[in-house]
Amino acid sequence: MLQTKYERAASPRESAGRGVEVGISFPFLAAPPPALLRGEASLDETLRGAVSGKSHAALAEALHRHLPGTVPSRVYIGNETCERLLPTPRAVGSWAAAARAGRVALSLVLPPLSRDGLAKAEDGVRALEGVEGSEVVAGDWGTVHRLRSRHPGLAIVLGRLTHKMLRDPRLADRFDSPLAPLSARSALCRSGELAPGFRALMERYRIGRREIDPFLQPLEEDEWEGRDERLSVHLPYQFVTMGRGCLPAAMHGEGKGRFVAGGPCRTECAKYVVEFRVPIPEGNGAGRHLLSLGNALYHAVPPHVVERVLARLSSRERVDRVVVAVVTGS
Amino acid sequence: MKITVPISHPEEVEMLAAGGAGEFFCGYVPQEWLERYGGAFWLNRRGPVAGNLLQRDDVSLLAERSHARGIPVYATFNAPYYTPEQQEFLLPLIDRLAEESGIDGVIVSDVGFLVALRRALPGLSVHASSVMASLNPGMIDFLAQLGAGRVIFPRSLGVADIAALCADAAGRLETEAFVLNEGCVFEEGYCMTTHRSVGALCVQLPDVPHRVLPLTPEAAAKLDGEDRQPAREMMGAFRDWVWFQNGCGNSVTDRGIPNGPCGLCALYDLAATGVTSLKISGRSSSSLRKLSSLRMVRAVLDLVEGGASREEAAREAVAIRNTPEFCNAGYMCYYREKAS
Repeated sequence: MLQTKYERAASPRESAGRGVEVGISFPFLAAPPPALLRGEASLDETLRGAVSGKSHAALAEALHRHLPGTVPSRVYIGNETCERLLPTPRAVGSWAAAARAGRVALSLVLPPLSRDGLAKAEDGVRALEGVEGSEVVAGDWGTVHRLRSRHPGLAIVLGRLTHKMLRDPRLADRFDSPLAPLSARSALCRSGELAPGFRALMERYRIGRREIDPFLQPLEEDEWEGRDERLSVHLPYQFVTMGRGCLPAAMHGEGKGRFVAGGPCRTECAKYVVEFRVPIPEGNGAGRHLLSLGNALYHAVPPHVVERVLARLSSRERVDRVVVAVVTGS
Repeated sequence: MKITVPISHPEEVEMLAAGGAGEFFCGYVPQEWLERYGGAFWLNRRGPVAGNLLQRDDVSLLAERSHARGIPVYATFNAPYYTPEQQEFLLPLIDRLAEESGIDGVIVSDVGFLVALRRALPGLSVHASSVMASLNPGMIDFLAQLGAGRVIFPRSLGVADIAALCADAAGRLETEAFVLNEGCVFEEGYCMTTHRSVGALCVQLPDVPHRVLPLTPEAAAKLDGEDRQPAREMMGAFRDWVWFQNGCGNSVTDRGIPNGPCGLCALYDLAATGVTSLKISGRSSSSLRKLSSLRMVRAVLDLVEGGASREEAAREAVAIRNTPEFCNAGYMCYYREKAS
């Protein structure tokens, strides 16, 4: 039997399994599925049709096992790496109305923004401002500063692109190798965010939530729990890198126009992904898959990392949200 | 405009000063850091040893010689982040570099570390590295409020972006833009990969197996038809782009001029932006490469400052490089919208 947010008739936060909220992101869809906004889509339905269908089915199974009864209760709109995919204020307003009726919360995701992008993003933010349970996920500190200055009541979340740690999938699972110096292992399995300077910024800008990746290297306990803010953890894709030039857009670009920030674009990202298989050192031919999704590279973490992330959710206070990206096209 | 030049040894001061350097930036990696972290965690973006000074006495000598020629020295501590323990280690080290060795400022990437430095060493100028990816006016306001002394623009910005941000920064922050060498395929401030042990991922990508996957049935049909050739051309273009960004395969001309990312023919327009400094990258380059890079920038900048037109300056830039086929390809330009 399908469980839906609608059937449960609970508030978004109450609806999630074991107090952990599940948010769904469709970074390349022009609009989120209406059934999801109406609170009528189950997790299984939502993940069906993703580019890597089998792994998403396994992810849905793992989510249900660790978070029984979980249903999608938050929808992410926008894209974390490309400002061309900023939704219009009108679209944001329309989705906010639908989500309100479905008692689903909205997160507007912003990429690192240019001058023009920041202005457009603010229009979207205004359309969302005041909507219950809504928030804006910022991808750079300039955006944080601007939004906090002009929108003092806005819930601002630090996006995972601002979480500075190495994530290189060729090496990261070796960062905690017992062969490495202890101090090096520690430094590669934590960020600088617990240092006083960063803490001061979090307080100054009143950041109550930070997003993090499903790291291949096991993070030190403090990185999860030694914070004041809440954490959202992404699954199943770990961010690796991004450019302001775009690989899929080069498909229909010409000559010098390719790979220029703001260059020609036919939203090829909504039609194609490029999968690379990168060899790992001393791997005897083994490799890691990287997905070029739009102007960014991601790595779908293996099942044991998904398990490691999910296993800690029910027993830890700080991490109370999972953000699942579903890569489908339009 | 000053030309900001990489330096990695006190012996390079005289040569680069004579070549027209206006500022130096260097890296310093003490032995204790290497003992703690080996090669696993680089203290700055060039590491762990190459391109860095390893003795504090050398930093002092470099600063002394530079100051004697009126040239300030900035030390780079621009790892993407430092853990709390690393920051505790670095703050007194930087204090000694400023107080005893005479450096004029530091370049950092970690926003929290910037805050810590301003609190601990309020008299020290702190520059926001290009790794901080300052792309918008909100970031200029953010840095100004935190007390940064300069913003170094990331490589991906165009001249018009730089002009607008320089206007935002005017009177509050100095500004610095790249003019030569060392490209980045991705946005450096958002690249979470490492060059350690495995080399640059971006350079590796064109040579590894790949496949284009359609996201919709319509895209699948197109990939078998009209998009089949564009998909191939996409990867060919990517290979070219990476090659140019990687210094044209890290090559030099037979005159010793380094190939690779270049903003020389945009100098006329860069000068008009009001940007304070022009950065040449490459601390780990040979002394000869540093000098030949500096001479190229100096020559074109002298023309611009002497009243040459945009076209004259661009023509001279292309002539100095003497690789018109690379210039015409377009992928070697930092400021491609201004490419000659």
